[in-house]
Amino acid sequence: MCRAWHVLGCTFLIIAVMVLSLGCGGPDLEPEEETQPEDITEAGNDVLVRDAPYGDPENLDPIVRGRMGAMAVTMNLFDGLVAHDPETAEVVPAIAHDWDISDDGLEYTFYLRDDATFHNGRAITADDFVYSLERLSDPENASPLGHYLDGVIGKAAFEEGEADHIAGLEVIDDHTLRIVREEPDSAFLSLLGFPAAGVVPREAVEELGTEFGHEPVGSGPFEFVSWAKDDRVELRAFDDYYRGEAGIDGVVFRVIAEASTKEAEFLAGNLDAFIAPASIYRKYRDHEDYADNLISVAEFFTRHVGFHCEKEPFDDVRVRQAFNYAIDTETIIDVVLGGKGVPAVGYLPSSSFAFDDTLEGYDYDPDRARELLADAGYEEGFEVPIMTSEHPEWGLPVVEAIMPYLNEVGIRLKPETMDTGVLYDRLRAGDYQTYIYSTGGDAHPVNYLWRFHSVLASTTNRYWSEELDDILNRARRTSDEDEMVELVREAEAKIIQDAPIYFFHYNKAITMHADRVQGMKPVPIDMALQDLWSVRLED
Amino acid sequence: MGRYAARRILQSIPVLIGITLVAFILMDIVPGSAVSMMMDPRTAQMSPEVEARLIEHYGLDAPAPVRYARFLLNAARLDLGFSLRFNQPVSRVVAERMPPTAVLALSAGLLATVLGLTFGIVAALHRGKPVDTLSMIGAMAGASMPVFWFGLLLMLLFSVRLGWLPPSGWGGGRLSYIVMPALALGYGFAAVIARVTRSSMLEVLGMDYIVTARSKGLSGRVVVYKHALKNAMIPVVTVIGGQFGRLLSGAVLTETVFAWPGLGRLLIDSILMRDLPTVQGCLVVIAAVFVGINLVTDLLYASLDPRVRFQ
Amino acid sequence: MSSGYRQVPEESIARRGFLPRFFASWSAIIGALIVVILIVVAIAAPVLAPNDPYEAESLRDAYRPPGQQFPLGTDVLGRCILSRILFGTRISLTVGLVVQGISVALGVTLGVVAGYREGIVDDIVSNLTNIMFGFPHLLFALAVVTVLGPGLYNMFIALGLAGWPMIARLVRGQTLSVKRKEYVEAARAAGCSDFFIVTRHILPQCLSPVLVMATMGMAAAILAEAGLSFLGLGAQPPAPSWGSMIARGRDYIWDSPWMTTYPGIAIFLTVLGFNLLGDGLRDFLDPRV
Repeated sequence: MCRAWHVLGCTFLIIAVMVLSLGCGGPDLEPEEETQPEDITEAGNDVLVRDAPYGDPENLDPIVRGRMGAMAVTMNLFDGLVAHDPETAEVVPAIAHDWDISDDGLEYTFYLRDDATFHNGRAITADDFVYSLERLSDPENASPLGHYLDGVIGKAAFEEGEADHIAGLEVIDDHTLRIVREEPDSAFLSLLGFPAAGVVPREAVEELGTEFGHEPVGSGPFEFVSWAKDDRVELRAFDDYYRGEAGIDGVVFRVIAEASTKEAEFLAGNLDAFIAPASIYRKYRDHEDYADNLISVAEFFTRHVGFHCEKEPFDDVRVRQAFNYAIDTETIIDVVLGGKGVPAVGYLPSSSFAFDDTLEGYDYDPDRARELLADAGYEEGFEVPIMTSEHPEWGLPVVEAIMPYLNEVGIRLKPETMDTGVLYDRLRAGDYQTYIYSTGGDAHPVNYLWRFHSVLASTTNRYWSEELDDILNRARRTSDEDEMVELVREAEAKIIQDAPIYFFHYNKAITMHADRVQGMKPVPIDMALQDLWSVRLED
Repeated sequence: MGRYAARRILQSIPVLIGITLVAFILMDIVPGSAVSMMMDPRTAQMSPEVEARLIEHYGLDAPAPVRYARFLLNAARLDLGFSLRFNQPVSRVVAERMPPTAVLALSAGLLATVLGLTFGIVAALHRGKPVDTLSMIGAMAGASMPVFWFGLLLMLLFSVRLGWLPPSGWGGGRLSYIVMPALALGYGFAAVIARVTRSSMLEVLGMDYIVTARSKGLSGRVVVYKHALKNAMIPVVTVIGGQFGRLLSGAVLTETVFAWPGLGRLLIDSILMRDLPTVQGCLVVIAAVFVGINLVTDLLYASLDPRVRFQ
Repeated sequence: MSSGYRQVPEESIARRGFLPRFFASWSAIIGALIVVILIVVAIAAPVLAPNDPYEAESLRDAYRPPGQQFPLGTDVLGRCILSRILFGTRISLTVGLVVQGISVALGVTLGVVAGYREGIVDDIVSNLTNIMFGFPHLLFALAVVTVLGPGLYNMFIALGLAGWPMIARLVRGQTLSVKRKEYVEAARAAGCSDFFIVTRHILPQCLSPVLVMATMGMAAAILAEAGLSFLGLGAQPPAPSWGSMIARGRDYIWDSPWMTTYPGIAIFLTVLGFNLLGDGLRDFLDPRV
């Protein structure tokens, strides 16, 4: 019996040693910094505790991945030449306090502030931007967002390895940067406002290597404090921020996956703000105590059912239109989404400055749907599979809700559930007939509608229209904003008419916040991308 | 004994390798690519050139056997690869998440062992009385409840309705955060332990030498009971070792419900995001722990029952 | 590994108190009762269900608490929870049966072959079994379902594949011990074919323990299905699987708890029934253990 205990004892010792040694890191690491940074959540500090939208950010180097979960954090850590006004999505100055664009739309000259510094104290110059933008475009770094600088002179050569620098990035002096393009693009400036185009300190990147993504150093209103993976990210206000110090002392992003857990934490007072899903919106939209604590906006995400426009039966526009008429969108939004959705007219959301409120979409008209189907030769109806994820707002529950309506006119849906990764891959491979999805995420109307351009057709719905292509091309090339808006509206009208998708709804994004939180905004690009510098906590 | 131990350890190695192979094959056939997950799939579309470049950059274009061989060689040096999701070494990713899962598993295990042994022994000693029946009914109930449902109910009761405990997170390991997850996870485990302990105790108590000792009026009931206990523990230990798998499966569900930043969540998220290196790394670590525990159980067993060594 | 249980003299059974013996047989009775009720419900579901489980009459009926028209309330899409639970019995029983069928078929075959032939075949099968044991049950099923895609049939395969090692190990042990019995050696000497020996002597001896394990395994399979559905890999709509009902309702647990509570109770009772039955069967078939 003694031997048994010996065996047990030895084993526990071994296991303990193993666990401890693994806990201290593997062979690739420097000693874990167990140095406790100041606890920013201690009493006396104004710290905003919010949820980590889309979960753990995974990596905070802005060029490494293109996921929104990371952007929600990195946009507060990294500043760039320009930024987006949170509410209108228009381009506003950031580190470049002013800029000129030449008449032919090819030359952009940026005038930089002289009081912008990195979190490590060093002043920012035009050279830093050249370094950062080249880093983004460098094929060695394999950034999925490396296309931002497409069309800039010399970028292609740089990518091929023929040049050491991008010729089109010119440093005029320490605080003046010029970017020269080969052809105009009205959406280029907007791209420079995303975190991937943000400025990073060369010395920190070179020192940390891939660990830069886990200990980021930027120039934004907040600096990095700590990150417990899958648990929380902590940021602290940057004292020397050029716009002035942030309204709060720090932010904690808490990673919570379950909606009901978020709600419980909020009610318990542990969470100041979070992005609310439909189940929670439903409950609180008319609540006497909490109705005022909700901020809503029609986000730049259009939920839709996509049709494979090259395969029967959806190659016939009448069938596609019938699908749109057959569904009582408003009731579904009301019941299944608890009202958390703005019924879609076309593809461009109503919060865009280019939105045309005179356009008419598809009403609920099952008779018309049946007529159209009969015209197209599908009086008997047909059966068709639909790819879907399990998402509560644009997945299985919605599919189940629209099935009865479509049954009424003879369209029988067969759902195929899969996770979004697989759905997306099959989408690009063309291996589907219909699918339900949510796309968007860009503020510029031309960029937004670009998915219907034939250039992208093979990765979206295989819908081709020369007419639409022409309109969109012109919209992209013009530097006259009014003309661009006109053309965009024309394009929308055509898209609605050709119905390459079932226009479901624009996401009504909801932020629910505690009474003391002031300054959170309805951000149409994505409610997750809050500019936390302007938040204040009033007790 | 030493030879038996050595033999068993050697036997474990092909098992470990086999596990990595199965993990590799499974993840290789999974449809969907890690690379397309690097962008938010709702926003910009990733062009084929960018995708090809990324695939090449991460070495995903090598044929499967090459990738597997690479993985094995690295694993031997304790380098578990590079995570596609986090852009970090997998060993680091896994190491950061071990403490929460370890805390959860150990607390649940401890709770289960204490509860299970206590009720099992009490039930056996007072067999036939209400304590016995009630304990066994409670144990049955525990073994039959879905872990996640029980967890949600606990959260409903103790956090939302009563407000006594924080609903989620692991709070750096503070006690108030551990209570509910450990309970949710451990209860089912405790049930199994209780039942096995009870039947094992009953059996041993009915043994000749115990009966004889008692009939001789041997004082020191304590001595008798201690003997009974020691011998009764043998099958209990076996069962605990065998049930460990259930603990880890349950941990995955518990971690999801309580937002616990551990290995279980990591594994699920990595499978869903097609982060093959991390999945492999996790499975290797988990499997190593398993194999280790099985090994310990076997060795313990062999030291108690010498016949086993010569099979 | 041998089971570690030594023989208890027959007389000591009589020593056991009245209640535990009753409890032992009570298990079998209650368990059997529950299982029978479940089977009846599964068959009679169309008659018993007050509403259509697949489609709601009107979307506006959603989120109703338990009341007259909907005795257990409605779910997110307005479907009657009671009706869905009743029809869900079919799915759960099917899951239990098919999964165990696969596990038993695979496990018995491999176990007998390994135990009977021994040698290299045994080594291979034993190693395979040990490898399978190295994976947590649920995670293996999860990985397989991710490969195959969600859906009921894929879940059968996944869970069936995850469950065979336990049975294989049991059957192998039994085979090994029966093989050494005198009457088997006699049969061998008499020239009986392997097939004959296996089917006439070995398999019948395995029957009871396999039956017990399979019964408990049904409970485990139903729990596993619920777990997988909870993680988001459940059966396809509009199939009313209990696990996916909980998964669907979990966002509303604070205010509409009926969506998760009742399916949870259904799972609980079903699993309890099979566990009790298995327990009772074990006591009944092998009272010495």
